[in-house]
Amino acid sequence: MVRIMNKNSFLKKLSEELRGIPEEERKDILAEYTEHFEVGMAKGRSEKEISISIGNPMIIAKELKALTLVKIAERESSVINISRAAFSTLGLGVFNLIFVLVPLLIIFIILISLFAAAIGITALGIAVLIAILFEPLLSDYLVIGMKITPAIFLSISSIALGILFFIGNIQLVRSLYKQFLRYLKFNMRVIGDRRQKDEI
Amino acid sequence: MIYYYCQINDRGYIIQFKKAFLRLYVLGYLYRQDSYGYDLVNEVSKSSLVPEGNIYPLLRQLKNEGYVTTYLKESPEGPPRRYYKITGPGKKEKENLQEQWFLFTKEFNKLLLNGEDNE
Repeated sequence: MVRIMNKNSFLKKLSEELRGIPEEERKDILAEYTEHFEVGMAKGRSEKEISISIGNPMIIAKELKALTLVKIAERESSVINISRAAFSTLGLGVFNLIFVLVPLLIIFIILISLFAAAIGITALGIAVLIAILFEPLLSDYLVIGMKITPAIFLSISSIALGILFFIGNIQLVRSLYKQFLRYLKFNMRVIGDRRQKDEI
Repeated sequence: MIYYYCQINDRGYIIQFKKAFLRLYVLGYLYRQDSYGYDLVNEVSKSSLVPEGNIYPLLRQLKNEGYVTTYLKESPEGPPRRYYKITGPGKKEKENLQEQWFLFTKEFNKLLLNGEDNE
């Protein structure tokens, strides 16, 4: 059901729907729509007429929110920011649940396993090193079935490998972050809102 | 490329065509002159091809991408207006989109009219 709004109820609704983005950005957006109403009214159009021509504030807010959150994720890289940006685009298209959420989850799962592997390899090296150092004390409990030199070599190379793997993973996160943001922006350029589906 | 302009919904209609068209249309309009939001919405509403409600989110997106900038200008009637101005990269984007658009319509027309020529 479409309810025709006047200037104040339109702006109020828009402001409510824009919760969750920085105050400064929200004020900027509201100022722009206020200007639109004022220009229109100065030209003699009624508030309701103008509000119909702008469209549904809920749909507009969704799109503006997604735009802002992607911009924030671009400026300040963090897991929270990229997740918020991704989730904000879910409401934009019916298929975005598949096109955005599924890739995001797959990326998360792969990254978590890669980091776990890196930490595991490093931990293995450390464990072997500790075992070698404390072998005289622990000899009642464990037996290292290797000579001391290859064992040290093994532990140090395992630690080094683990750390390198970890650094590589961080690089991978950086590049995936950029790629995923680029994908979100592409997605927003292409995906329309649900309303367009009924329009044609 | 065709994906950029078209996405087919479950009823088989092209639904994304309009969004890409609106982007090119607005960039093209700003290419000719600076303009403010109300004017752009008004301009777009003259044509039934484009949905007018999406102008402001689109302008914001273009601004985020660096294709347009804004400045405030006093007006004889009503409040000061936020004018949009196309940038260098914006002009490039417009030319690029336009070229792709013409290419797309040319190819599509060829495809569409091919069958009729043979009859």
